[in-house]
Amino acid sequence: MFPPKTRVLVIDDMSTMRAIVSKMCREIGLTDVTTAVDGEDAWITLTEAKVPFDLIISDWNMPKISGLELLKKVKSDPRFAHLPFIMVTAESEKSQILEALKAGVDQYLMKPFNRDMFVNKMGTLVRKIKKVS
Amino acid sequence: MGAPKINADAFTEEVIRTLKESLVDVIQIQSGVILEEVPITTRTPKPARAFGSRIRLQGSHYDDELVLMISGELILHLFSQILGEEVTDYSEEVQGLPLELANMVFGQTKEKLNPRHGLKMARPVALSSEVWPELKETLFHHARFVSQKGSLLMSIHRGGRL
Repeated sequence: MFPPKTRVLVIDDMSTMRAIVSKMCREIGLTDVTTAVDGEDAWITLTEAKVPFDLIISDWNMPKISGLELLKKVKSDPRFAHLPFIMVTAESEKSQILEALKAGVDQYLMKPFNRDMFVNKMGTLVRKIKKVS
Repeated sequence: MGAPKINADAFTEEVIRTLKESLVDVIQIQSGVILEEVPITTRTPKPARAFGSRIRLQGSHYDDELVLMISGELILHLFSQILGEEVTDYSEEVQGLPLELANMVFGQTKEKLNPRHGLKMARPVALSSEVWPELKETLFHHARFVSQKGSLLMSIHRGGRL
């Protein structure tokens, strides 16, 4: 599905969801997974990475820097703007989805989700990336 | 002694029903485990070990709280099902599952009830089993759910904080 050695950054303030998303990533061959505990930690991890990341999977509702704020920072920085960004959230109000789309989110993954739903969403993202490139 | 009475003046039956439906949906989608609601009495025993969470339900005409208390046996089963591998330790990740579930139940409920109920965004807080809700308290609405492995107590607290 993804090229080998794809580097993934998983961001969630709850260790439970970090563990779940990381496990699902590994199951589809994304074995190079780094985690961050909030948007601020993620930004430091992104900017200080010696080997650049290829994909960001972030929770929305986090302290310090929210997922939406992180998305805006990422998409407005030429170093990271090309990175596919998946927003994971339990919130599904249209206004929120629109806000994320306007900020450049590539995929929106609604909680709760099981392995099949995760795989489908990643597949959609891969097809979208291929189409664009 | 019978089941505690539902006292739902401001907190409508609709909200309670929606929370219950959301809970069952969330658990089934996330883990594949099917929960069944069973009758509850004030004599329903407290599990030896449990993990919980609470989340504020602040809307346009109420300020209440949803509490989820999950037996240790069920929480291990749920996390094992989600990860697709057997989990036997009460790790930080396992103990955080009630927080995630409360977050998801809240999100689904918010989607179904807003904008009529004006439910505001909230973040869940962890609870230990020492604060297992008093089932005789009729200001709360309690519902008990079971699966093949373990049980879960959902309590809706009107205007109170544990």
